[in-house]
Amino acid sequence: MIQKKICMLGAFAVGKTSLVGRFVRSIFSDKYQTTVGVKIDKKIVSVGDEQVNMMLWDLHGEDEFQKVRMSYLRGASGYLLVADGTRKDTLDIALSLHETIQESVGTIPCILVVNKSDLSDDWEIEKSELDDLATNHWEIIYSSAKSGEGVEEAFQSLARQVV
Amino acid sequence: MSLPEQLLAYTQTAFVDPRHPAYLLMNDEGSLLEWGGELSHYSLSSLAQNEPVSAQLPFLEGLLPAETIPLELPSVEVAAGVYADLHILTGDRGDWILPLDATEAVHEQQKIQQKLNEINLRKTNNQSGTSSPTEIPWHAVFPTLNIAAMVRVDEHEFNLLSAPPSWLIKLWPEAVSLRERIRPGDVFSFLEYFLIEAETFWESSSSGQLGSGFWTEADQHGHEYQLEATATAVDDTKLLLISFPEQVFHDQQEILQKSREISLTHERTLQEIQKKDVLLHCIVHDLKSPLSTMKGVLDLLAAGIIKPERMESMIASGQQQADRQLGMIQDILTAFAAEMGALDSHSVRRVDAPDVVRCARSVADGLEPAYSRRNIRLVVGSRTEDAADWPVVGEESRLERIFTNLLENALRHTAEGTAVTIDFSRKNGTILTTIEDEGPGIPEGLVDRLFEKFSQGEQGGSTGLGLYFCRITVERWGGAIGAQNRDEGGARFWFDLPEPAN
Repeated sequence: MIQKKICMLGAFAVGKTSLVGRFVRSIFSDKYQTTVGVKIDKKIVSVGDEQVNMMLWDLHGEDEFQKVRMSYLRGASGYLLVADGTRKDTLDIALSLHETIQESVGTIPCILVVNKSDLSDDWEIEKSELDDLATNHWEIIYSSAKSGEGVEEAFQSLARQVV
Repeated sequence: MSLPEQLLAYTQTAFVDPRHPAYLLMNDEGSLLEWGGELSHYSLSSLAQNEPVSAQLPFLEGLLPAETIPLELPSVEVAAGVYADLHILTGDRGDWILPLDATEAVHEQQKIQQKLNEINLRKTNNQSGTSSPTEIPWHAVFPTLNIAAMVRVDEHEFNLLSAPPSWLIKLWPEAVSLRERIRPGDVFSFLEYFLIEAETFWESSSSGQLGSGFWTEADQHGHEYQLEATATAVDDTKLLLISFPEQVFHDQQEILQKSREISLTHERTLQEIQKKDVLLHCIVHDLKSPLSTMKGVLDLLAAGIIKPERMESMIASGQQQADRQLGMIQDILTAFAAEMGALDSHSVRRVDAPDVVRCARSVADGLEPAYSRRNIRLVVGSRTEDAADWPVVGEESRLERIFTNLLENALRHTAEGTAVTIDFSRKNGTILTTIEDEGPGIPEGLVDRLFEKFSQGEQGGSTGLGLYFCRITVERWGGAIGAQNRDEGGARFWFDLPEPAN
């Protein structure tokens, strides 16, 4: 079986841990609990005829208190950049992280996941901004760890890219 | 679990044979029955059958009979300079004693202890100029600190320096028996990557330390352990220390959690303030429009240039705009008054309770001219018995305010030549009031936030506080309020209120 390391990256409280929880254990909790350090989960997915063991590295959120160590990305085959659709600055942080990763790790497959699509009333990130990114070859998936929308799609799509 | 013979043979050759396995069997009286294996390695050559074991094996003195079996006695000096891990287990014919050589591991441990003692001595000498270092049993110190200490013997291979801490056994049960040449990176995915970094660190630096940061592992029951690894070196000895600083982790998490919650609240407050600024701007703009009309009317009157035949309509227009502005200001005042808790008094007694049908009729009568001007019929209680009482929990003037807000809202949004219908029904001790119009309905996306503070439709022209006032007032009286689009077109607003007790 192929094993692939996938990293979850983004600002704090965007829903990285919730996305992994939804994908691996089909659970969701509204209660926010900040991640300290790294937590690794595994899930086997099928990509065509291949079975892929996805090692999901859920990294703590980036902010002034905790900076993501680029060494955590060593050996990663791809990463999900997660932003919170109701907080505009989380997209800026995601894009800034992407730049840092490209400089230190190089170009590897990644997907921009705009989470919390269930909170559309509070949406802050402009659709036009995401449309611009999409035209610049970004793969963007709207997700909700709460409802499950787009979660499977995001991980499966990245799995296809890294195999 | 039984291993295939080939693997058993390999295990024997690779792991057991290098440790010079031997055995001794003693009966219940502690006499030696049988022996074999590489006993000469342990200098045990002249043994006598049926003689007491303790007399022949001095290193067992005081340990037999063992209180609990099986028993593991690590790093016992069985002969001069020869150490063994002794395993004592029960068989059909008596107790087996199985020595496995541990000389190399003990020497490693001694070397490290020696180095640490030297450092300690140097430190002590530097500080006080005295000598005679204290002998510190490092193999006992690490478990006390809840640290799994390992010395690097090869790339990614380590020997455990001391008994593994309990948390390590829960995460990695095999760690108890595999003390030498263990590969923690094979068990903990996180370490697999950290050790790559550590190898670089050990190659390039002989001092300092490299920390991994926290990572989380779960045991087979799902219990999580937050661990931290440190690579360091003492002279030429490369050490890997893995700790489980539970309290430090929880303290750090608590601080981060709180700081981030504060940060999120701050962000949301800023968003609310921005939203409020925009809405206040809209309200001021809406208040300005009728004022402009009124000023225009007054200017014309002052200039005396209005023709007599237009005088009446001009004044009516000014009055209408004044009423509109007054209504808006009233909305603002009542909403804020309700928020401040100034509207607490209301009746829950039947004798003082307002009659919801009478209130509706009274408000409808007052609004009739406005409805007529736009050719909209206002029908109140077409299916309601006039003679019956319709008392509800509440207070009359505020109930009238609720009707005023709902009916003005209907008037604003329904088309000319249509009808607005108010009806009432009783169910389970509550009275339900419905107000249905034949307008375009409520825009999608607005239904859920219609009763929120400052919620405005696309047309604007209101403060966004009228329906908010209705909701908080109805809810305060123990009722509920809502709105939805009707299948046949138009919108239905409703609220229910409890009937007061007799």
